[in-house]
Amino acid sequence: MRITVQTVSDLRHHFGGREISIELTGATVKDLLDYLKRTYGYDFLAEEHTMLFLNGKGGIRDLEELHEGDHVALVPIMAAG
Amino acid sequence: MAASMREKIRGCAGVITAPSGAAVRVLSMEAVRAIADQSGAGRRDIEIAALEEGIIPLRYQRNAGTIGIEGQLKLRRARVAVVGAGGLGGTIIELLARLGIGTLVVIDRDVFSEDNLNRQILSTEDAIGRPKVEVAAGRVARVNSAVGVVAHHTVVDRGNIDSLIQGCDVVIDALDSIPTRLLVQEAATRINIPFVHGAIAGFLGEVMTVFPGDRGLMALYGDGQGAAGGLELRLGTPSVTPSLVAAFQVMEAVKLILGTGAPLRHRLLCIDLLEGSISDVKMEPRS
Repeated sequence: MRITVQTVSDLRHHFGGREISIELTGATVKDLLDYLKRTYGYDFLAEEHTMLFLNGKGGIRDLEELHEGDHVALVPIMAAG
Repeated sequence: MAASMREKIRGCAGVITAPSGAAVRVLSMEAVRAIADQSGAGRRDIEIAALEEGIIPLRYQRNAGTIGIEGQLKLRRARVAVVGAGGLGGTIIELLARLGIGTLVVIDRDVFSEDNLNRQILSTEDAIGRPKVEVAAGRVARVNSAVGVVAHHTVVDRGNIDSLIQGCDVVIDALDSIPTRLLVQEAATRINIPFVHGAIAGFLGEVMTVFPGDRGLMALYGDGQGAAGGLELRLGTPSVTPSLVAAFQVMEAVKLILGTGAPLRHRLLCIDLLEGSISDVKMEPRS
């Protein structure tokens, strides 16, 4: 399946662009995270201050299913005021 | 009393040529003060009466091209809560005062400290140790004495937040605590007003407007329990970033009050000042 990964702010340095299109053979968010680690050296699970949104929804679990055309966004957590 | 005040306003009004070349009727700051002294009316009420007469208080003349007299009236009648008077809050308060918001409700528990000086616009060397809300009120009085300030030097909690922001048209989040942000968003939903979120870390910033019933910060932070903070713990909070994010937040409030433009609803605006880029992430509309 083909999905889109949007990276904002300084996270894009890991991927060389703001948005990448991925042809994924797996079916879950964990498969995507494994792909990002294997291909880009980006270990989401080691990032303490990054959120993952699947089609605009946060609080995503590893085993959440992905579907053709899904949109994933990686966003840094910030909280200062 | 009201009729004589309006007569005085009309009598004191002058005509100037605006930069656009148009002739406009204006009322000077000195005239507002004099009418206030003579009539006993408040400066805000005098400015509102002038605007209703089609006379622009001179201090807002440069607002008129984009905001207009009707828009300026809406701002003059508005009441905005700013929760937090630090990096974001200081600039937000300054900009709202210059825009001519009717009343600012400023809430902060803190006093200024030396490590605020790098970025918090209201912090000065002689303000260290003074409550931020007290300094904010003094600054607004010097910038625009026709803006009312209700200052609360207090800790925001579940027991007081509803009453603190009750009666406001919008509440702006200038906090540095995730659990308190969530608490204020919940209160804004309960009293049915929009909530403008902003946060910073290093040269990164984000802005989002949350309407009552929107998932808003719940989508960002979950329940927020145990959340100590974000990237700012590592990156710190240098100058520049708070000014930019604060400007976006004030613009959100202005759009909401004027009923114009496109609010950042269901969109998280992400700003990267190092790259000079802004992008937005679509957010889930409802819980």
